[in-house]
Amino acid sequence: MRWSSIVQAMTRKEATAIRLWGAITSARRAQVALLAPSSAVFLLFFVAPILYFFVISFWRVEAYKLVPAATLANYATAFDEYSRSLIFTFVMALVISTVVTVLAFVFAYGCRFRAGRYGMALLFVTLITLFGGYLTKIYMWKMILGQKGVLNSALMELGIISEPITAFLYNPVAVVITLSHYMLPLAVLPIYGSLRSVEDVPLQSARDLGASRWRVFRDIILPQCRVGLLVAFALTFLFAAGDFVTPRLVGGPHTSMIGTFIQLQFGLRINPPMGSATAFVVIGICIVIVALVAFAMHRALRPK
Amino acid sequence: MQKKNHFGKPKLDERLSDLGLVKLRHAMPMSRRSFAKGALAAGAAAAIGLPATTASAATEVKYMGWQGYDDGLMEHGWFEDNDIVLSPTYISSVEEITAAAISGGMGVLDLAVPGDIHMDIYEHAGILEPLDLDRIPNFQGVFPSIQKRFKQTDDGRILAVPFMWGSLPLMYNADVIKEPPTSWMDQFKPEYTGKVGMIQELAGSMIWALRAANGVRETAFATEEQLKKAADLLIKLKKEQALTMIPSYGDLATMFATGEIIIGSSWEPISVWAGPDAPTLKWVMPEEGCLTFVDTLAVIKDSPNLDACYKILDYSVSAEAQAATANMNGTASTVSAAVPLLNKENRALYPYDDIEGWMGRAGPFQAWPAVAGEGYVEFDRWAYHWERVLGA
Repeated sequence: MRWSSIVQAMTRKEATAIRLWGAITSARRAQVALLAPSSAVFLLFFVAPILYFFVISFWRVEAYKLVPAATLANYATAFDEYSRSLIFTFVMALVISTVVTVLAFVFAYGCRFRAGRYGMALLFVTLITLFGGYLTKIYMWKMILGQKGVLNSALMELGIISEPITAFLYNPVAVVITLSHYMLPLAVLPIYGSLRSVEDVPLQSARDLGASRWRVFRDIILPQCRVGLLVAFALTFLFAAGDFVTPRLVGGPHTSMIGTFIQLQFGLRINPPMGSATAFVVIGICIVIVALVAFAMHRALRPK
Repeated sequence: MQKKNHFGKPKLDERLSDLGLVKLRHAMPMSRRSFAKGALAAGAAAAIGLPATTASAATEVKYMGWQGYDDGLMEHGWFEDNDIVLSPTYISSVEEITAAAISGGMGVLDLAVPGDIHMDIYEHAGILEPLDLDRIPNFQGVFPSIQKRFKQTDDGRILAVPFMWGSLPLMYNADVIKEPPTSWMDQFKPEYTGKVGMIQELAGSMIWALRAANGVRETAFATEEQLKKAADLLIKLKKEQALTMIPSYGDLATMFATGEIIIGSSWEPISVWAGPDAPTLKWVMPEEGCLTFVDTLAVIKDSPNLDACYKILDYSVSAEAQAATANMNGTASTVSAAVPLLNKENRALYPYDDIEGWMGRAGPFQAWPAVAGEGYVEFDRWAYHWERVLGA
């Protein structure tokens, strides 16, 4: 029997189903082919190293050599020896991410709803600051906040103070300022993206029906940019929790973040299992905190 | 009018379109020819980004160490003359060398710059290649007082070549502090509150603290109790007197130069790095002594370019290379024949005429013990107490 006869004998639905399956399978194959290179890079350079460090986090070190084992001692030690530093790190990260998310929202809101045709220009100016580089910005803030920095010099020149104020630098507030400045452009982007999807018509309709500005903001705008807010918060929080260079340069004598000790475990103490276990403790706590914030945002910013 | 296929049925595109589906090929037209073109373009872009290879087969030696140490070696064109290319990875702390070596660096990296105080640890960790002194004839030109700090194995090998040396004395701003300090404990004077700089480096802090807190001269062979007292002293200094923990010697120089700090554990070239507009910086060796150290050039185990490494090591302790490095960085030369080639700034910084006496007054040198012994703890306990200081 010829193929054409077979096909003609099928019902219309059967033939369509076969053609659709062929099309979908072909489309799926094309998708897989396109995603394969980036997936390979992701698996090879991210997943594989993460798995390696996770496995060795249960090992031991003897005479500076790795010894395969299955012990939770490293995790217990991480909580025991570094609990103070862990708490300080996450408090700092929460403060920084809250400050950045609020500021980023205010700025993005202004760009979207208040700045009119200048909104995109303001956004562009924000993004330009990303070109500055991480260490450059830290040293810039050292120059601004230092005893002979721009701020102290200006205040002394204006006669407001007679001696430089040493409290501007080398304390946790300087860390919050520096990291907030660095993370702000990155937080503005997802929030602005969410606000862009908020249509003007429902807002105008709500106002026409008698809703106050606050009601419109709380019940229509905020719920629609929940995802952007969460992304901005998570991005800032995760970066701040892992950073240890900024506190080292501007934070003063009492701001050692957990990243410092993870680095010391790998380098100074030659104890990769302990360093890995501490790192995964940090990752685990970060996941829990971000999940809690996501849940809280979901409850608080539900559409009405 | 709907198009029909060979079988008289509506064409698939029409059917999918009716169902609301769009074939991927329409969204992203792809043919074998266009795929090949794209791959060729991507390959060409990648090739442009590749580093240019030299015409000759020059040996590439991977160096992991301090920025500046390699500059002196490259000053006189020796690498070009010997067909060697130095490929540097600069570090911000010496611990990065250890971490890199044990994380797959052996068999890949060639040269590194460990300090002599770490030699016992590196020997135990097995990350350095033992060196045949017969292949480093210039080693005989190193000052004898520095040579003897390097333990030789039974078959006459050493683990590293002394590249530069120095000490970590107590530095002070002589424009503010008129009377030179005599003890490390002078940092606790009330007039220095908030103006003391603490370098965030174990060797730069724990050694003097161990001596000052316990009244001992021995450094590396410490007990747990002595280390605890040293750490407690540093925590007290940090809480009561220090402006901040300073992350690098470069930052230390800047802070001395701006006057933010006026006293603290330091290193001789800081007085030069602070610049011509800085306050007058002087230093003393306190009554408790201070740490003297030798930074070395060493070969990472299983280096793929051992012959080239030996050539570089021998050149590194030649008068020419030593003078170039010392003049550029303000560091001290380990080779006596280099001293006449040093600039007068460098000769003013270091006691080349009496290195033995200086090191003797500084206190006995011992490398940190990798394992505990009778009456002393292993290096890891130093690191543990140092972490207490950082976390306080």
